[in-house]
Amino acid sequence: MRTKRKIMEALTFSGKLLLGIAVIFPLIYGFCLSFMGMADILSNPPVLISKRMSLANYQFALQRVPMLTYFKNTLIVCFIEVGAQILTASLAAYAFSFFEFKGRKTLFALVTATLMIPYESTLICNYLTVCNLRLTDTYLGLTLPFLASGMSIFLMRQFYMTLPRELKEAATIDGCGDMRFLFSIAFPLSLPATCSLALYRFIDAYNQYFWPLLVTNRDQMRTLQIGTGILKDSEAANYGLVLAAAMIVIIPAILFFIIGQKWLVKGMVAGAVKG
Amino acid sequence: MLKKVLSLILCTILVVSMAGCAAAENQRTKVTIWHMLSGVGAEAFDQIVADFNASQDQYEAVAEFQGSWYDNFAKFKATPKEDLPDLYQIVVECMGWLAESDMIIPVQKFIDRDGFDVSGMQENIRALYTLNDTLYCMPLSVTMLALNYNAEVLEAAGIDPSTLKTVADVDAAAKKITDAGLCKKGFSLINDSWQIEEYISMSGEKLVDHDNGRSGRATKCLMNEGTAALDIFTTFHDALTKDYNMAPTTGLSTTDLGNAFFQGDLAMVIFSSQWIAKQKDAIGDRFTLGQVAAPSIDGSASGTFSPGGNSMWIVDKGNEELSEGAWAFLQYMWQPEVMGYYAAYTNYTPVSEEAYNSEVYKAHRQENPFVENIWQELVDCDPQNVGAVFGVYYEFRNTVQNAFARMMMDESYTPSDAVEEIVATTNENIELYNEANPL
Amino acid sequence: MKTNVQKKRIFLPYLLLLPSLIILAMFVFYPFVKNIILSLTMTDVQGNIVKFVGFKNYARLFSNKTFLNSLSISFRFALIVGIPAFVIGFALALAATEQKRGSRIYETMYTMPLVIAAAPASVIWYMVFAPNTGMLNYLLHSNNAWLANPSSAIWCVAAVTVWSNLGMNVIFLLTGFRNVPPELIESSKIDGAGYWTRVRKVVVPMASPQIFFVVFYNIVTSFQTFAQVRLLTDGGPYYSTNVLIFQIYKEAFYNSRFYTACTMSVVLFFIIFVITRVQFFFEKKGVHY
Repeated sequence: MRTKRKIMEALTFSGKLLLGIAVIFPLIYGFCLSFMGMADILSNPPVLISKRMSLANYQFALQRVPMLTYFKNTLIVCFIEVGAQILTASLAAYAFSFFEFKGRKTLFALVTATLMIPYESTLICNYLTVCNLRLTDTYLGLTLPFLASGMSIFLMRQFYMTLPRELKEAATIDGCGDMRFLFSIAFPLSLPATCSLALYRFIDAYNQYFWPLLVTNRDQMRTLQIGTGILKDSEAANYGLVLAAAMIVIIPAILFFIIGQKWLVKGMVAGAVKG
Repeated sequence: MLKKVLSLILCTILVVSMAGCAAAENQRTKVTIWHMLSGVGAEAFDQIVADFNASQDQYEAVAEFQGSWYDNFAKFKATPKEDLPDLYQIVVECMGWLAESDMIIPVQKFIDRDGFDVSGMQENIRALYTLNDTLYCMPLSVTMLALNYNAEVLEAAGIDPSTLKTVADVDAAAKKITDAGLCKKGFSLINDSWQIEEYISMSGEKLVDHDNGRSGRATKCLMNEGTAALDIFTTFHDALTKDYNMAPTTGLSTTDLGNAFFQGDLAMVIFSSQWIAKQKDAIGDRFTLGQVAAPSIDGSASGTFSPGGNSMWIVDKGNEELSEGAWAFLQYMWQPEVMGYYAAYTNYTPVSEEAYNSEVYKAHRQENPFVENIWQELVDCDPQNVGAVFGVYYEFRNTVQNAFARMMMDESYTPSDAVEEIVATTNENIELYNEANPL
Repeated sequence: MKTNVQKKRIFLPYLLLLPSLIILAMFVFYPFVKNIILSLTMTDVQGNIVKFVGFKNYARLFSNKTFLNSLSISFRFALIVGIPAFVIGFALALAATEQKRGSRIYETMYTMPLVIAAAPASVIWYMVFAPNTGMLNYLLHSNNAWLANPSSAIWCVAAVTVWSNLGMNVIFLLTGFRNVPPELIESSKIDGAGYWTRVRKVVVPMASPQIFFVVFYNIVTSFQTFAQVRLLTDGGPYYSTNVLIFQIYKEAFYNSRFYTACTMSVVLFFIIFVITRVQFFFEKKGVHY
């Protein structure tokens, strides 16, 4: 009986693991191919391991384009955007969920409305605004349109709405001010949701391609995605090189994710209990 | 007390002299160049920029890659004047729009002023970049339409590439090769509107009215008024849908067909000489690359192909010093050794005879004898047959490529349908363009 | 007479909203209004207004084959992305809900697509779909050019989008599933409910905010899928993946016809607006807080 259960467990585990491998298989595939030259990539049937694997593609990618500078820029931009969005979104979500005020419904409708406005249609206009403010090739110019986001406000509000009103009432009775409630009680409670949001917005910021391309002219200010873009545009026939660049972009993200995910999951489970 | 005063004076002197040094260092005027080169093109160009900076100390050129030409061009058009570069490198398709705009200064102005000698420039290239007797930009890269082939396969089949003069010849060769089992597929044409335009140039017919947009603004597309377009489409449709050849399907992946060729599965492919030659690494040791001029449709055409490529434009920022800097760079670039180096490194074709005969390019010719065929093709180009100039190139290209691809895949969509659709769409686009952009 | 404290309290919410509203106003609303204005004009290649044409742009648009095709492709795309993305995400999240020894391994695997940018992802998947040498052809023992065939291209782009969305979907659904109070699970087990009944009657209602969000997110963002289209198919072959947002991009940046791009943007906005209204209607009915 116990053996049967153990076998069942082992089977379910392997099944779930196989599913996982299936999900990340493209990444494994890309990873293997990134070490190969075109001759091997184009071989039929396709191979995952070949005798001629080498770091040549990576060396070339790192020498040809200043990947480290791009990496630094990408990180700075991501941190600014995520930090600013968490701040502005928490404030806004707090206002929407714990306060009654005139125009609340309209303002919230406006905020959700921004979710429907396609990002690409605002690009040129925003580019001209940033140019007029003389903010091209600056970190501020790279991040300005993204310091607040309707998506973040929406998500934070979703969470704040799950907090019981009684909590605030009790706190007010105890003499807790509005802002203190936010910072000492509501925000800490929201940490799991905030972390999910932060992770998600970080990825979004990390993945931006078109905006940084528009706003930066100098190589010094460009981001990782553009670095990949450069190689992708040109070296389509040397695909190993393109894949190597893609890997250079992905691997830090994956590492960050694996490390940060532990905390994320813990937070999810810990903050799950209400009251 | 004295010590303090003395050290203060010393410090001040040090600081001022350092600032002075720094200022002297930065005396160079910065000349920004936006370009769309990548891979070997970017490497060669960066080298030229570095050499230019080392050769003089008045200007410092800075090259910035701005993405592929259509991404890049949109950005260029939208950027405010102060943020524009001083030199802009872009493909010949953008000439129509640029020449009409007030964003550039034609290089003719500088050539006339300084009496600069550009007589070595190939006539046809000069004609390509000239409107109303004004040379607008300096050519940098030239590529020609070539028949690229797998030398070993053709040799084994006993075919002499120089005899392949028409599409019919190539088709026959393709059949011979595949019948003998020497290669999986015979030949193909990479679906790129540029090639269709090249064939129309060859036919002597015009793409758009007003003399291909050169004597006035284009107002309509002439593709359905002659027979050239229909002949081109029909010939390739019939040849490439045969099962021993490969039919090009999408416009995006020149890569797939290119890869088939590099892998050795396709014996011959018609495409830009530069694009194929620069991918020699993908071929590896599988076979030797050969190039000859692309075949004509049926040998009856009266004209020749037109050169393709990209060129350098001086941007008008209202700042004389910057335009002088830009001009200085162009003068440097024009030297035969520099142009020869560029052509040798990137596999583009040289733009002047002196560059062709430069030492560095001579070495390249010895290693790659087929470039002589391409050079000959360029020399034979009739200046009368140069390409069209009009503002809606991108969409035109897209329409042609989609129509061509569909014709290959969909039997109910005939070559005649394809041509009609292209003309209808292009006319509409030209009309809209002219309406929205009054002269 | 309101006290100072009370006065401050009245202003507080507005103050809290101010930073967000300023940014959103400048970078979302202002371009949006400009879009509407421009859609009623003709502009030159630099975006300057040349003349007002009223609703002529809209009239021309709705008789334009390419635009109507983009519309239908976008709707189709929303469906073939939204449904599989949700279903697969749901299944994977269910599989990962229980935390056992080693479960974090496959949980990380399921959510990994989240951190993969669209650009590298498309670059890799491009190889998967490659005609002779791609992994997909190898696995299926076939030799199709998946991306070059108009009928399969859209499924390829959808597949990459679904894959990319998996991470987000799984994370949010997991949060919802794990938020279900264990007492409810226990009591339903005691009541003799089987696994699937439990899922239907307990987990789904308790996780309804997250489910609602995930469904909404998948559909709305499918209308804004851009990078994959750009990198895998460039809108082809023969316009079969030419989703509306991509056509807008082409009009604005390649054809420099901003007025047409703006007109299309307005239409796209209306579509998403209607969808969101429908979503909110269902939220009121189905979601428990």
